[in-house]
Amino acid sequence: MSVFDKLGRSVAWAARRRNLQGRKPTFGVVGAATPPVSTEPPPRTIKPAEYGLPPRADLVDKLAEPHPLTVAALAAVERRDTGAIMAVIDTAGTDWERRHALVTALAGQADDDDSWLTAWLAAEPDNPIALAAYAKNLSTTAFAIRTASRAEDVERDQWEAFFRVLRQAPEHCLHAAAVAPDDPTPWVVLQTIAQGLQYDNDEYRKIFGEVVSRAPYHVHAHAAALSYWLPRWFGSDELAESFVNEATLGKPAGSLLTHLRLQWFYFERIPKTDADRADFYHGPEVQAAIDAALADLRAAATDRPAYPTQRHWLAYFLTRAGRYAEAYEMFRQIGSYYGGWPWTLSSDPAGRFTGIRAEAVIGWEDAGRPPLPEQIGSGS
Amino acid sequence: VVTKADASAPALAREVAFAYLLTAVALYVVVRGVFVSTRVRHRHIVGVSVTERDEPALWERVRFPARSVGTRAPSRIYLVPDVNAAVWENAKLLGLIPGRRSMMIGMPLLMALTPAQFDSVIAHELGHYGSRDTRLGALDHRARESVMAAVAAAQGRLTGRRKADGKPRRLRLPGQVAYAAVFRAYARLVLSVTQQASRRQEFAADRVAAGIAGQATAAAGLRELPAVEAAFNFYIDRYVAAGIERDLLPAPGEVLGGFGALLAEPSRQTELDELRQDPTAEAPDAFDSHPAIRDRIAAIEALPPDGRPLDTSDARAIATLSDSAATLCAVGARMLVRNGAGKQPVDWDTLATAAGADRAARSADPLRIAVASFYQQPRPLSGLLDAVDAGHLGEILDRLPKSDGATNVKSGSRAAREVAKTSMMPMVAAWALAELAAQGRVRWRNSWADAAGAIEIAPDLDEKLRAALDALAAVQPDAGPMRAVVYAMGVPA
Repeated sequence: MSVFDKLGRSVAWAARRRNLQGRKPTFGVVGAATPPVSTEPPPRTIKPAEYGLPPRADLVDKLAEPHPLTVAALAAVERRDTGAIMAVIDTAGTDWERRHALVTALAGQADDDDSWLTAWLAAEPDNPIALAAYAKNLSTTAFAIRTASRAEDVERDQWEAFFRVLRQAPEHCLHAAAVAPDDPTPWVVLQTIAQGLQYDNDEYRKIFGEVVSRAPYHVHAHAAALSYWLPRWFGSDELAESFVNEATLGKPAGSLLTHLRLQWFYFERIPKTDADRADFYHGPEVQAAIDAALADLRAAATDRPAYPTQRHWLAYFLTRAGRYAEAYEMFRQIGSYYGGWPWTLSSDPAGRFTGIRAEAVIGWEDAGRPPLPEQIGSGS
Repeated sequence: VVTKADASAPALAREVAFAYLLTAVALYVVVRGVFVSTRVRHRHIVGVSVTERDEPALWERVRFPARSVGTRAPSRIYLVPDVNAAVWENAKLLGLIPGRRSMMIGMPLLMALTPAQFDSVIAHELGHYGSRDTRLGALDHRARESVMAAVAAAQGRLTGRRKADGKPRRLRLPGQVAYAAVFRAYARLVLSVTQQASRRQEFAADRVAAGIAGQATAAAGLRELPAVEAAFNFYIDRYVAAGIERDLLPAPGEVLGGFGALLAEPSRQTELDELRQDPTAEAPDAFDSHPAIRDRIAAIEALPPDGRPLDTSDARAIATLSDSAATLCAVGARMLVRNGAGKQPVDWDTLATAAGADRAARSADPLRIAVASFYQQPRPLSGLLDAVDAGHLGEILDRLPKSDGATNVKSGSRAAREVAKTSMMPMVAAWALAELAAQGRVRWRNSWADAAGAIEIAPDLDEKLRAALDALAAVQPDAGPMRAVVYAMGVPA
């Protein structure tokens, strides 16, 4: 076989493997999921300022206001001060979720220009933070190559570049894990890479096991795993449901894992017709999941990286379930930030966010402006 | 532009004078057409004449159906390097006086047809003799040619220059368009009359063939013709002509001999069967004297069944020749008399290597152009490697043509450059192979299954080249391994 044949092989292999499994992954984890509900704008609109909400022009494509440690870390990157970066990491200590969030933020700073990160890695080849951030950057670069399009709309050379870049990532995760054996971060980074590289279920369970043995309630790791176990990827309805039950039931209040059930509903359970959808959102299953998520949020520390994520999911589901006063209150707490799921799963995240927000406010108006709940989680 | 006001009396006089002139020309054409010699000259035939002493069995294969048809056998047989079989007679005085009969037989047909299919083709040609086609056939053909020439003359003389749209520029005289239209109408009439006649002759000759070789075999032989023609064109184009840019040709015995190997290649049989099953793929030609093959097959199959079995022999008609290797060599050499001058005969693998190296170099062209654009002068592969070392790969990637995938990704991003790198890597591989071939470290082996040949590369070199490509394709590219592989013997000056 000549070197001519070589370059197309990985993609052909990937295509075969998909065919064998009889499905094409839609890469919903990076935002390709078709919103299962109508995106038609509501017939009425609101003036956000009249309700103490920021107007669309002031909205920010971020999950929430950046954490002070993230701000400090990014400032250190600007100064190319790797010592200061490590000082920030040390401040986070064994708050593994915070550490993962910091590594993700560092990787994001290399999206346009990775020279500072490669220089850091060249100077400190065994630095677990540099290694993990570099692996995370390879992963996000690969998924940017793939784009969030449906698999059939991704061109052959995109697939090739996706796999070529992504295949370079695992070694850095494993290296980081070897030099920082207590830190689950490299394993969490590896989860998304493993999903892109189509690791089989047992391989994936091993990686997830490495995470939860170090950080049993790591919310990002659980959300990533739920993606993997969806039928559109490498799981099934049964595997996804049992994973959600395992992840959410019997966990301490404040773990912030309860929104996984909402995430699962959003991806897999929403009915096709408007009438069925209304029944579903108002039905006991969703109501119970919302109640559990609200109780979880109330018990959680507000500085957890997953705290805003939980709020975004609740804002969406409270609105859809017709619990407008709670929904409105949730949107007040969220403020200007819309850069998280479920909004970013839409092709127009800001439009999706303001549309649902308007629905919540109008619903609250139509209900005669009932009093807003006092205790729904701490305001930000 | 000549307007109506300008086209007054002098112009009219010019037109009348031109009408006389044109009539005189047409008259000349017709008269010359009557008296011109219709002889096909020996020296015009690209082929080898074989006598009865050379090839007794072949001559008997021609004589036997001639006796059955009840006609005189040809007195000359030429073997030619075309997918064709034909008879002609150099008759005299409008075909009234019989002349010497000649036959040409295409070597590719001898190589592709079974003996019985070959008999059917020969019987078809002799069928033309039997119906006295050939004696008048030459005249018929000459009439068609003369009329076509007159039409061309009426349309205006080609000036040898071309218009902006690439069509040839014609020297036109005033009023010529109208004359040309009249001539074309006349020509169409002449052509359709002679064409109907010539097509009738073909159907009649097919009935003779079916009578001699059997209905099923005659139909199978016809099915074979477009398949053999397509295969032979492919063979000439992709194998014989492959090294022509480097002035290389196959050895004389192999010029045609390779076609036999291609026909025998097991992996080609499916393609050939598809061609046989689809005779409609033949391009229809309004002025072809033959009806469409599918119509001829249908006409044969519509005859009352004769119950004779289909010839399924594995033998080929070329086995009839007493020394097929020598004959292939002689016809192959004759074929190259004009085109082979100054070209060196080599073995198939050398030809495949030359063609493979050229193909590799050509497929790297967009990258070569991008590198030349970056340096503002042409550079070998080492130029690309230098740019990688100096951190300029991105600038070369930005100069490559945008692929479909690249347009999907945010332009200018690192993701976009990685997609461009995917387009670049096969070109780097091709460029490296071309350089390795130039150093004699990579060869191609001829393959009848794959016209591109099979690359021959030492396992350790293959492994190093793959590793070097991976290193160059890495997110942090390293040109070192590629430099070590390709320029192990130093960078050429």
